[in-house]
Amino acid sequence: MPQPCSVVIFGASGDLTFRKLIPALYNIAADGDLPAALSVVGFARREKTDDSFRAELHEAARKFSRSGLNEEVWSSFAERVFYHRSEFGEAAGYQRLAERLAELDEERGTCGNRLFYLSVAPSEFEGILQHLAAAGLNKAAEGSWARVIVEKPFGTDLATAQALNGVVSKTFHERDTYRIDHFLGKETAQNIMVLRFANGIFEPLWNHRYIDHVQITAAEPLGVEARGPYYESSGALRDMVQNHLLQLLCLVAMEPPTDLAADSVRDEKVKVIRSLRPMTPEDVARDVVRGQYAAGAIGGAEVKAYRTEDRVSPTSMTETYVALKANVDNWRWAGVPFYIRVGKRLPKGATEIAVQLKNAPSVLFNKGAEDIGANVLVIRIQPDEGISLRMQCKMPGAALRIEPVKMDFHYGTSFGKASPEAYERLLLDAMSGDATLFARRDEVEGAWHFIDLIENAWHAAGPQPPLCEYPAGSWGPKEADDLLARDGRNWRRM
Amino acid sequence: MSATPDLSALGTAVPIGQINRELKKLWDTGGNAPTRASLINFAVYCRSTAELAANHELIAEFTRNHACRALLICVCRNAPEPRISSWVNAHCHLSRAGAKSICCEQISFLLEGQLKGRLTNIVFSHLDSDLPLYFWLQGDVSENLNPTLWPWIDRLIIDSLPWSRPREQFARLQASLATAKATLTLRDLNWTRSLNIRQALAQFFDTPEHLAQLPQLSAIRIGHAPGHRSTALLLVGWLAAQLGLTLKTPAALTFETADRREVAVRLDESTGAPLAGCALTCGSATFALRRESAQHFLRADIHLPGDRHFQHLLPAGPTTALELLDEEMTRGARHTLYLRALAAITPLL
Repeated sequence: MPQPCSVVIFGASGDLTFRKLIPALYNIAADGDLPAALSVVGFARREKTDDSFRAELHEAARKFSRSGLNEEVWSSFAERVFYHRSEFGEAAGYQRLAERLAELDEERGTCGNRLFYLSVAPSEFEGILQHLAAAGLNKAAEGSWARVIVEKPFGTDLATAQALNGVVSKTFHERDTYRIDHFLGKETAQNIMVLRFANGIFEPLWNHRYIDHVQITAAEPLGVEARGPYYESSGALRDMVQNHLLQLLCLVAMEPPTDLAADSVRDEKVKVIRSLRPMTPEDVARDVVRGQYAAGAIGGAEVKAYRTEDRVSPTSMTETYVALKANVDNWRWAGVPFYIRVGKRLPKGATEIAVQLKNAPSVLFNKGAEDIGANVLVIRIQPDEGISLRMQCKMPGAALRIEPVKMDFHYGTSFGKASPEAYERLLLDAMSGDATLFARRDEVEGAWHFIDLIENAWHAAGPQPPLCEYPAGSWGPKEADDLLARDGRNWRRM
Repeated sequence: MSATPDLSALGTAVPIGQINRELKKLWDTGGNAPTRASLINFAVYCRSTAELAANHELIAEFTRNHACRALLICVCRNAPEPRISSWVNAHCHLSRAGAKSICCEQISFLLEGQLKGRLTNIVFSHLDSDLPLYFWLQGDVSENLNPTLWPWIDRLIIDSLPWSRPREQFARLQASLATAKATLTLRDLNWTRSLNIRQALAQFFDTPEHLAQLPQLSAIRIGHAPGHRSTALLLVGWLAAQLGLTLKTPAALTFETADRREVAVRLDESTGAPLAGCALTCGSATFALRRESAQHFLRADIHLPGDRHFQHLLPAGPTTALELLDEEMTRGARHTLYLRALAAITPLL
């Protein structure tokens, strides 16, 4: 159970608050895991009262809570929710916030503990942090704590990430800074370490001797929706690969930590990031494919091309798809490529890691040079979290016919209870002071260093790698298939 | 009375975007949940709602022995308005032990009107991951499937029997196969119809004494039902491919051996079994197979020089669509021999 505290959400009128943060806090309360002395303060510009804010949140919790809504639990939870109206740049607003938090400490016993959640555009980070410091809210009284959760994107390149880290570190200690990547809060992502290090069957095989390659895929059928302007400045590489997918890569590739303390785990992840082979412009041209969706069909309906989406440039060169081949240059992974692909307007919504083992010799089954089919261990991050293992099996009958079969484990149906949402776990961890599932400064900066080399090659003067078109509803451009075909491999069927 | 078949048997009608959610609900039934089983993705493509309804019935039976995720896809391009409908369903059967209900998912799609590019996305979106894709393309190959679909197919099942212009169809099919992945296997149910006759013919010559008669082959006579000429021709093609015969005079159905001896082929049409029989004349020996229409056996008659006569019975093999599919599922062979047989008789198609 975390200590009593006040959770202050900056950007309390935003989508994330309504869809994720409040439903997550409500679910934690419904599970009985919230401390009785807890208050939630929404900080935003719009004019609202505590009651009108609660009424809006009630609707959101009803709609988005995984466990439905129990009115009794909601009433008890809502009593602890408050609204604080202020401009983000208004110093007096922070003074008033400090006073209100002090009152809540008195009234509700929140003990001077504060968790600030920055659910705002990155351009607002610096101002908010400076105002928090000016109001003395970044420092906690003796025996109390003040922490900050920062939402992605954490910078747009290495330089801006370093600048942002500089600002944060002037205000909060690194140990009190929680850079959130909600993928890490997902049950299956957390299970990667358990799968690898608590099962004797896998760890001996988890290296270049037995693993042929790893595929990490994050596919979504949605387009950019209303996020055109953001996406235009970001693209798939910065939006997804720099954070979510590299974090998953780290969990798959890291060495066993000395213990499960936050820094022990994060130390190992940083080693993986540092082992990523930096890409030259020639590497980028050869090993990275960027694509953009053209018009096509998704779920039976026609959808338009990216360049005709709302508030997107008709000549946009922003990538909505990336496929790349990464190499982890360390002892364990020498010669094992990690293929990463991410894209919008793909046929399915799924984030999965597939570990493909090397083929068994097929000579025994008169297959000659023909591929007998590899074992594939698939870790499904979302949706339908779970694990499957594909193996080869003899079909019943007199003939020796070998076909793949799949052993499948589903979190949703195996344990008789729903998995908590990623934000529930992450909020609880931040309240409890456990930063294991949050990114550390050196992880973030290391990831940006790797990504910047690709971005720079894409935007350098002179000949640039092409932006390949793919029809919406397909699995991406042909060039992405060629990327694997060149190595004698295929993207797995999802 | 409306000619439109009742499609309510296809299961729960669902918006196409909610198929996965609805499928999940099928299995989320609490403690006594049935077991979902799937070893392949089995897509069945047809062009009329009557065929769609028939395919549903077929899959209900097929899933007794072959666990799969079935994707029934019906494309009716001539409908006036573009529309897509979809249904989810499960076919459940008690396991052989009788204790457990084993279920297979079925997703059905009806695509009406001019809907370009939908088929590929529908297939891509609803596959059970990491399992092979068997694609049964019913009817003609006349509509070019999206080339991006071909590399995804592990086994392409066709039935060349009803094709109106088979030579054109085969040419189109072979062009499409060129874009498919190397491991795609082509299976023609029309070829499967002759499986047991081919096996029985091959068995005749397992005996060295019989094999010694084969170089004297002079005539092949095949009986077939009306509309099954192509089935008979594929059997001729197999014999030609295996025996090294080449077509000499297409109009007279005459082949010749490598040493330039003529082999006359005669096709006899009569009502009855799709392939009523096959007789090979080798000098004074004959090797004949005959199937009576209501029988499940082939009668084998062997006449050897010296007035020796042997008879025995062999299983006749599959005839219905379900039997043909059952047979297909137990076979893993590639299509090399089939293509050789096809090449031998292409001018006759």
